[in-house]
Amino acid sequence: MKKIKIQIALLVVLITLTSAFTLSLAPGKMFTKNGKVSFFSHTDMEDIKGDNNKVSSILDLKTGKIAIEILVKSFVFKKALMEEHFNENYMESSKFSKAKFDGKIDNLEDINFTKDGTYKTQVSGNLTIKDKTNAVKTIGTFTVKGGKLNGKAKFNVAPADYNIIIPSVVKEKIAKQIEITVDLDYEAMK
Amino acid sequence: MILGLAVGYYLWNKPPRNIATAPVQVYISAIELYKAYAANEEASNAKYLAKVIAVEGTVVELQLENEEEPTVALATDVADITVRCGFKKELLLEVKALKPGDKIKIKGKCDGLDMFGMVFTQCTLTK
Repeated sequence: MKKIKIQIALLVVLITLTSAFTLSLAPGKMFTKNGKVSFFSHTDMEDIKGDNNKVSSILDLKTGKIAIEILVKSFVFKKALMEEHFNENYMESSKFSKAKFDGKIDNLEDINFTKDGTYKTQVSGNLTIKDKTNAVKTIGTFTVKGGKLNGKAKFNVAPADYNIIIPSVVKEKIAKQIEITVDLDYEAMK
Repeated sequence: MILGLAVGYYLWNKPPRNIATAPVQVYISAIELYKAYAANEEASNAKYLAKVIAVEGTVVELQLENEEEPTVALATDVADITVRCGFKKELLLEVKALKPGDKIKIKGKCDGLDMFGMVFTQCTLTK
């Protein structure tokens, strides 16, 4: 009888341990292939929004390194002219098909990837748009929940910093600072 | 004058081109397309980028985590590298009806190559 009790107790411990392991993130690599990045330009003349649902990223929980790739052609717009101007005039997406970010989490020690919660983070690195690379830094959040990891950030980019030339005719319609929103649902790499 | 304004207004508000009804420009298999990109990305972009392509392949998996764009991944000849085909969310049920191993043909816009393979958006199933 006692033996059975011990066996049951062991079983309970085992089950708890297994579920704990499957629900928390093992410190390895995480990825997304269908992340979201949007940009928003607001002026009194017009609001312009582009959405991309095909953002790919790899995040290394051990080192805090983050790589993100965004195919410029995957942005969708409400109006044909917005899409055309964005691709042909501003981003020259036939020549520069992707934007890239290579960086790292600056406060890795503040984030417990094995414990559910929302953690404030600072991410810094190099952002490449067209043929121009600039150092950028942003505040964001990581949310750990039931073995899943979501990363969010919002920051501004000035078109002028990336050789994006806005003709004077449409200058009033395009913001000096474009708001970029990043929303990535990571899953563990097998 | 009024006609000019009307034309201008129409052009200004015209919705983006509808890939689903646009004529197919290229017919190719997922395997051949990725091979071309792996060999020379720049030359392949010149040939395939932003084109309406009918791509044929075998379903590896469904990726439904982004509710805005249900996605079907087609196999290439390299493990873990796929052709990700994004559908409008209205087509979720059509995507959900597919399963790994299915041989299908998808019409969509080719957006290029990233770290996980090829990307297509505004996809529909085609014959």
